[in-house]
Amino acid sequence: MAGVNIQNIKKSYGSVEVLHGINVDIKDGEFIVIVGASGCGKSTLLRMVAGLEQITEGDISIGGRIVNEVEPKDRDIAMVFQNYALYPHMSVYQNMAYGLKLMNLSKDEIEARVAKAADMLQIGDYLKRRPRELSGGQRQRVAMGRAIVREPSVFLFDEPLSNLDAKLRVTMRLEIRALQRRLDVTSLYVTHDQVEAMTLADRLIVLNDGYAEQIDTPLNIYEKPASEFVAGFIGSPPMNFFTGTISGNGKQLELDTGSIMQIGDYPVENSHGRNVRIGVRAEKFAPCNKDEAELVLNVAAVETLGSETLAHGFADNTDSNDFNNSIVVKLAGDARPVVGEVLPVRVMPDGLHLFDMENGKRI
Amino acid sequence: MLFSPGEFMLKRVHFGPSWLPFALVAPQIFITLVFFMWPAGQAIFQSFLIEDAFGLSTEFVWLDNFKDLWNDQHYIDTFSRTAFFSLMVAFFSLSIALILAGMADRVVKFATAYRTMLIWPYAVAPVLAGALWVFMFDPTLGIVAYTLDMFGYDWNHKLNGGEAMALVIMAATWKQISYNFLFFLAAMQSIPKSLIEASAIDGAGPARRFWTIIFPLITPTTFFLLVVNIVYAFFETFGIIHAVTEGGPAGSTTILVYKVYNDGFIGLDLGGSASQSVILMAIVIFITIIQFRYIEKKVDY
Ligand SMILES: Nc1ncnc2c1ncn2[C@@H]1O[C@H](COP(=O)(O)OP(=O)(O)O)[C@@H](O)[C@H]1O
Ligand SMILES: [Mg+2]
Repeated sequence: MAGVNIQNIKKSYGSVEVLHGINVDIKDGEFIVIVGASGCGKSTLLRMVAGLEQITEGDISIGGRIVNEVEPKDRDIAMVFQNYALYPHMSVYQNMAYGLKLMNLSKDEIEARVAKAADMLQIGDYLKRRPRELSGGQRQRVAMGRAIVREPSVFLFDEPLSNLDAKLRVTMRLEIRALQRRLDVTSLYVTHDQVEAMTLADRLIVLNDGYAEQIDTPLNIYEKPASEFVAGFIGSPPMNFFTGTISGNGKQLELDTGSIMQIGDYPVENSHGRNVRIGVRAEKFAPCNKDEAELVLNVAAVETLGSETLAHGFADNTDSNDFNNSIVVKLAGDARPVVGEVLPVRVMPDGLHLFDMENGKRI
Repeated sequence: MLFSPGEFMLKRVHFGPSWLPFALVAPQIFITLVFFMWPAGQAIFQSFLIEDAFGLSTEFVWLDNFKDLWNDQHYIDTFSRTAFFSLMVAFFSLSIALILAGMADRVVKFATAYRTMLIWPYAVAPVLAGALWVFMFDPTLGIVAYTLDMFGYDWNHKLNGGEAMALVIMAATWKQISYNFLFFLAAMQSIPKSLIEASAIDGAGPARRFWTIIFPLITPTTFFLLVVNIVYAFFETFGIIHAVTEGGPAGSTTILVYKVYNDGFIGLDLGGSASQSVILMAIVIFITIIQFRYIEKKVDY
């Protein structure tokens, strides 16, 4: 059992810096998810914790011991790879026993550990098979098994579910979370899937281009995104953004499209005349009467999902061909808006997010 | 019904008789017939004949030439000498290439330059390769022989059969290492990097990773190269032996192909030489069948 401390970690390949100083203190038993777009440096960060990648600058400690120069095998970690990295010429049993033999455990101990893990993961029937004789989901379990038998202090996962189909991904996600709770092992989990990130994490690290934009619990990140990037990245459908100016002595927002929104008790002091980015989630718009509307949508597309209905539309004065500036409003599952209809909405009291025009930081 | 009528028609239209496929394979067939099948047929025919040394008379003797070979102690010796030579060449060229490829696989800086240099020997013609080794080991002029002399060892492959054998094995091995190296390196680089990383996390050091992960995974390549190397040592080392020892001293480096040449062109025993080449042909066919039947099927994961 051990916490992981990541202090001012930087990574450069040649002259290109891909991680620009990451700081996070991971408590013992915590489940941390690193989420971000492809190429933002998630795997690089994880691989530095594993010892598979040299650290350019900064310190990583596991269980209070700085491990910068420690070999992967001596870091007391186990890793699950995206392609599972099972040894193709070994049976499932041999795959799991490989690392244990190298630990010089007794034969009985090895058998006991493999049997226990196989039981936990329900792969006991496949122990004699080769990896190529298994389905994707079974391979995934074997990869997990190989990590579990080592009884490490830290689990590292690099997009372990991304090769599975959608249904299996949901089941495995729940299983991984249950398993981690049961074993109570500190875990670092990399994914680009924000739903996976939200559902698994005790705390999330949202990574953008090598910077940690925000490190917090999923709910805090959803409710108080620290930057426009985080606000846009977390949540589905993505948040709606507008550009506008604070007016009416900090009481109102004047959108570039001409609409007026009430700021309510959002804390903006002495900001009259300041240009801002405004974010509103789809479910924070409420349909209303025309005379109290803050925004009037011309509905251009409707997605009926059963449990909810998404209406995509354009405000007046916007290019109604470019769905990049469309606005999405989440309605009840039985709502039936039609294309071409006019939909007046207003922002719910706690629905506003304001961000700085220049640096994108939350105001 | 297997296909609907429409489908059947389509197949007929696409693959119906046409002169084009025949025209396309004709050159290949022509070359095979003229340069491979016809000489092979000639050899088989010749192997049933006895011709006197002046070519004045020929006699059809059925399998007598083969019987003579069976009873000829020289030929039996040549057979075991060839087996020894081939196994040594295959063993050394495979092991050395494996070590070099294992190291090259880990090299990051200057990898391309390093690999290019290792490939050069393959581009050298066999006779030139042989000449190079003769030059280095020449008992009076060679740098290696000179160095050995300083350590008190009197090298003379022109008199000592064992040393002559060692020299042709070295030359033939050196020539083949590059080829094996290329295949080994390609095979090693096709192993996903994450497998190596997983075994590093599992606690395996470089040597153990090599023997427990890399080596088993390149087995198909190793088997393939083993066959190729044995065929090489059997047949393609003629040029090297001709340049280095001419089969001597006292026949101690005469392997089967060299004996075919020696008996046929020098000794003018055409029938005996032809029956030896028929036996060689049979060996190639046998090795090829083993390769296709057994090896290619067995090794896949
Ligand atoms: N070995 C490498 N050499 C050079 N650049 C690399 C190397 N590995 C990763 N990168 C770069 O570092 C950045 C982050 O990569 P990575 O951590 O794999 O991203 P991801 O978030 O998709 O896992 C990418 O821009 C990638 O091109
Ligand atoms: Mg990645």
